[in-house]
Amino acid sequence: MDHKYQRGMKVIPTGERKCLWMEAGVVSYKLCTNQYQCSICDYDRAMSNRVLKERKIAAESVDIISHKKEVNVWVEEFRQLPADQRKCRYMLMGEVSYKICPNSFRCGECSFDQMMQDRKQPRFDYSVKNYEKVAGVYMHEELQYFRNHTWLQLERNGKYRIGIDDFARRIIGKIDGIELSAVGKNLDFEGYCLTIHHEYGDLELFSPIKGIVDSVNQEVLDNVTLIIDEPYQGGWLMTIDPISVTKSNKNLLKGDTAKAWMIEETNLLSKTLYSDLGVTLAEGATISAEISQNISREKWQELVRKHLFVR
Amino acid sequence: MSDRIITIIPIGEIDNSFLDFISWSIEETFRITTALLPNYNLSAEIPPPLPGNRYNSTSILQYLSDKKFDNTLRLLAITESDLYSPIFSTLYGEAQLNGRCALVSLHRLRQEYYNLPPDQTIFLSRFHKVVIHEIAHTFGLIHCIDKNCIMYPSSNVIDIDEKSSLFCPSCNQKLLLIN
Repeated sequence: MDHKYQRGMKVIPTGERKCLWMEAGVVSYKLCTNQYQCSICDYDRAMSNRVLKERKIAAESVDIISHKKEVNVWVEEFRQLPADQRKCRYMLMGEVSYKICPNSFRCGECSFDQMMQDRKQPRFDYSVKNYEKVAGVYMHEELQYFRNHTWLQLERNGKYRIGIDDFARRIIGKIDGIELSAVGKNLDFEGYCLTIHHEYGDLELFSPIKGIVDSVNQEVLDNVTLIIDEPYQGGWLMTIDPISVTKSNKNLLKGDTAKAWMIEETNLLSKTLYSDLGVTLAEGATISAEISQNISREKWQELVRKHLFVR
Repeated sequence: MSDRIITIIPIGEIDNSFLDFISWSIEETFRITTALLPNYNLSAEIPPPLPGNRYNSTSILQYLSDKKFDNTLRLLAITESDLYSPIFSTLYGEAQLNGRCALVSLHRLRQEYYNLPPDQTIFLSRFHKVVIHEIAHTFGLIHCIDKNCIMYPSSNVIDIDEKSSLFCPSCNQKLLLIN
């Protein structure tokens, strides 16, 4: 599809893509290294914050009109640029032959951008065939895992989709209800983002990344069993617009590192569930989804504290 | 020297050739003499099985760990029945970490279980790996992250087939230190 779509057009190499702030003439030189995904770009965020800050100062100033004129000058200048210099980011990337930006590069408010994102969005294949069982727990090579057993998937639009992993859903077992942070809520790194109601007590899980809640899965709110039945598919919880992924990324596990961590987690699970027999370890084992029914409330609470870091 | 014996207990009917093979296999790996006990009937001693002849492995281990066996350093029970536990819905074997007892089920190790033609070589290879894995737990080894190591926690028989029948250098070192 992409070949046909891009036939006859010049695809701009990554090293030659001008940052939108450069295109707009606000800065003299800055290349884009982020596929024009401004929503996850620290530079764009810093520049946007600067504009917002200046706007705030202007709003509080006596000479409001002149300040507003000053801070918006780049926007006005941008709008007055000749058409061939107001290229849409998809034209800049060579994905469409001609498109002028009508929206001062506020891509988040642009319906054309949304349409392109929807078309470009590679549907991440969450189907079971792509999962590998590690120590009896289903894991996906392309997902990132956080140590509280939440998973993350970076979408093409720069947002992170999150949910709980197979290990967590087996330990939790049965969910009575769920509360998700509201759209627009600013989540601190390790700030609580959801509450699961369980017969043995409420579980508050913290966010694996710092960001703003972009959307929540309404279907999960209506039918909580999706979290248990399809933790990686229909049971996703929310999407988060990350504020800073740099710090969070250090704590995210992927590939072999994630698999090694999961093996350690199952070792720890066995150690936590010691009985009169002491610690027992099993081969070919799949953690029972009814584990919460087979252990005491105190043991279960110890499990979720140790593995899910719940409050 | 008297308690340097690994005792093998067949629970129910187990083919003698399998038992001879596993005795040899254990002796070769751990350099410890094995002793084979007659078939043991546990049906009166433990809770009845779930449908599908599935026994609670924890109950079996509990029963065996409470029982006295002369000169026994480690105890390996082998059953044809399928196993489960309160923690694990399916398993091939379970053992006490740093304890005395290990239990292995043959039920899911045969090709026939997966509707494939019988293959004795594959079956014996799986049997060997699961038994050595479980006995190593009783000597204190935990699950290893090296996918080739015999202590890697298999999730299915493909994992068992893919891993080697040997310990990785790290687990081997631990085993040497323990012994």
